[in-house]
Amino acid sequence: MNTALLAANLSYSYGDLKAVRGISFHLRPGEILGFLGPNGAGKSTTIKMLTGLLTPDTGSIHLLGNEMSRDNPEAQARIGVCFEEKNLYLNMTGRENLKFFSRLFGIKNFDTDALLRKVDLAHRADDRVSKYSKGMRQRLMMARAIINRPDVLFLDEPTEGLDPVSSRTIRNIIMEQAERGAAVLLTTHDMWEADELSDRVAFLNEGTLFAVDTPDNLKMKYGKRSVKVRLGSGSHVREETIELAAADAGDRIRELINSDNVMTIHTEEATLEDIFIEITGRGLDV
Amino acid sequence: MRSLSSRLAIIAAIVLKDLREFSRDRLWMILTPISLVFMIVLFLILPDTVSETIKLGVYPSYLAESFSMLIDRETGEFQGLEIIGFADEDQLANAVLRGSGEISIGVALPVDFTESLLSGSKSSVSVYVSESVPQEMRSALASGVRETAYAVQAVYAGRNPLSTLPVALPHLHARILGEDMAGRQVPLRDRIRPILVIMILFIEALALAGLVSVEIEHRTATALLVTPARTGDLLTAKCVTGTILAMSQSYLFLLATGGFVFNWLIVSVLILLGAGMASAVGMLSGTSGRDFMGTLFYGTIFVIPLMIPALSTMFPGRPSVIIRLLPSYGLTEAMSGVLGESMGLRFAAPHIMTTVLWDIFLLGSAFFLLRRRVESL
Repeated sequence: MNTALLAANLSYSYGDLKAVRGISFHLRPGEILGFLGPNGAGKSTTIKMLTGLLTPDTGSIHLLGNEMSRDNPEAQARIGVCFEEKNLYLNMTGRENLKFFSRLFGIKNFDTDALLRKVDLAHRADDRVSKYSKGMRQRLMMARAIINRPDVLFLDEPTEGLDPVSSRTIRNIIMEQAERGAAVLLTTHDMWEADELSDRVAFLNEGTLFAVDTPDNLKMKYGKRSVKVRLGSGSHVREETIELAAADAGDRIRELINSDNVMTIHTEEATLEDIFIEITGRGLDV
Repeated sequence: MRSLSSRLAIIAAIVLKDLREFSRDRLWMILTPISLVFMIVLFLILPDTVSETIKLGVYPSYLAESFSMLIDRETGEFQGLEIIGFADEDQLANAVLRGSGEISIGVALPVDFTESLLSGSKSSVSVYVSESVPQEMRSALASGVRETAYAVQAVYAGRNPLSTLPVALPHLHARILGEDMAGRQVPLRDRIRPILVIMILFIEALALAGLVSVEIEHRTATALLVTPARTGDLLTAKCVTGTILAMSQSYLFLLATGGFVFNWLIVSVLILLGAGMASAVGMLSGTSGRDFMGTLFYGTIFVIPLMIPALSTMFPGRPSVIIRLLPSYGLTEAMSGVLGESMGLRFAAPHIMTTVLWDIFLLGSAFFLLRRRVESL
């Protein structure tokens, strides 16, 4: 199997608190894996282990075929990380931040302007980051994460609390990176975003991985196969739910459409959030 | 394994970044030049010479000779006492009052002093002393006046006051224990130069502490460690930055105050070692504090004890054991000796060795603690 990242039986504890409990998963090149879970689920700890910032208590990590460990510059030269906290150099400009990190990666003739244009920051390139808005800082974080054209990209809540325009810019970059062939691990508790972006999603709660699958498979497995039809006749409005598994479901839907009373038809598939709650017994906002 | 050149390139990139950040920190960009200028001005306004001769003014002037006879002339030396006669008592008082060092002490005798002495009647003598003359000197002067009375009595009796005593005076041999600094006293300006250098070094330690704490507080260190930069590269870069900051300020100060007329090679080694110690202190302070105020607090806690040996050099006598055990003692002693007394390598070598050992210990501790702190982010 062609894997960019292979994590096996990873565990990590902060003292007595078990943050991650023996999780295993893999990530293929060009794939986006949404890591979903509420605050404190162990998402950031997992990313720290995967990026070599923390040494797992148990388990192993293989990144692009090589064992990942702390102080592994060869492996870290091939990853990109966008942290949850905006850890940028505030007294430096956006351009200076990117140039500095390009030097750490040993990139020669780095085209800062092109990258700044990609994240829509070219017009503020020479302003200090301390003057940037939250969305601008996050876009700069994203630019920094892809500065070395990483083979594996780790994104920790990259769109949290952002305006729609900044969120859209970042989502476009994530898609673009995946299309380029980068494996993307995206942690979020925004189920809609995960659904839109992820090829597969992993449900993490209290350090335990409950499910890893494609959103469609999860919806098929846990959702309801039904449609809800809203019908209007004069001032009277009523709803009818049709189970798709029923033998006469097709006939009934055709019949309603032909009746000219149909106002709307909605599928009744479960959202990822519904499935998460069903599997873990816990909501995402906790 | 990465090549040495790629590691050096990473360290250089971090150092340049740190210097850029330092140059944009308003606090340090104001504090650094101000403190440097303050130190240079303080140095320049201090006296650059030491007068070892005490000038004694005597009124009336014809009695100056009697005072001179008190001085042991067997050696033909005045032993640092110069006697000047004044024709007017007010002139004498004014000369002492001016406090310009012209006359330190004045003795005004009544014009009928000798007659009073010879007739056995009580006379009154005025002694003028400038405010800078210590109390012991004033007591010695009172004894001097009494001696003068005896001498005058002998002179007027037609005898040499030193050879006609009823007792034989012993020969006096002054033995200086330690080095005799007579004739080559170190001016205050030169004595304070090493103290100012050490102060500058440790002020810059606080600047580095600020850079380290910001890296921790904003968690930018974490962003560095997911690149090919290692923790060791980051720590080395911080050490280099601290050393550059501390050394450059010290060099500027010494250039402005003529400090490199002394053994510049030893001075450079001492500044390098001092800058290393300052870097260690900066890293320790930056690691300990959680924010700017915390860093400043811990920085002060670390810096004050290190300043004590420098301050103690202003006072005579050997420092206490506790002071001699402080990490900066060897550095201070060597700097004082080389910068203040033009001492050479033979004097400085043991202190350099001690400072090297302290630098290794302090930098090692700073690396260990900062590494732990960075890796726990």
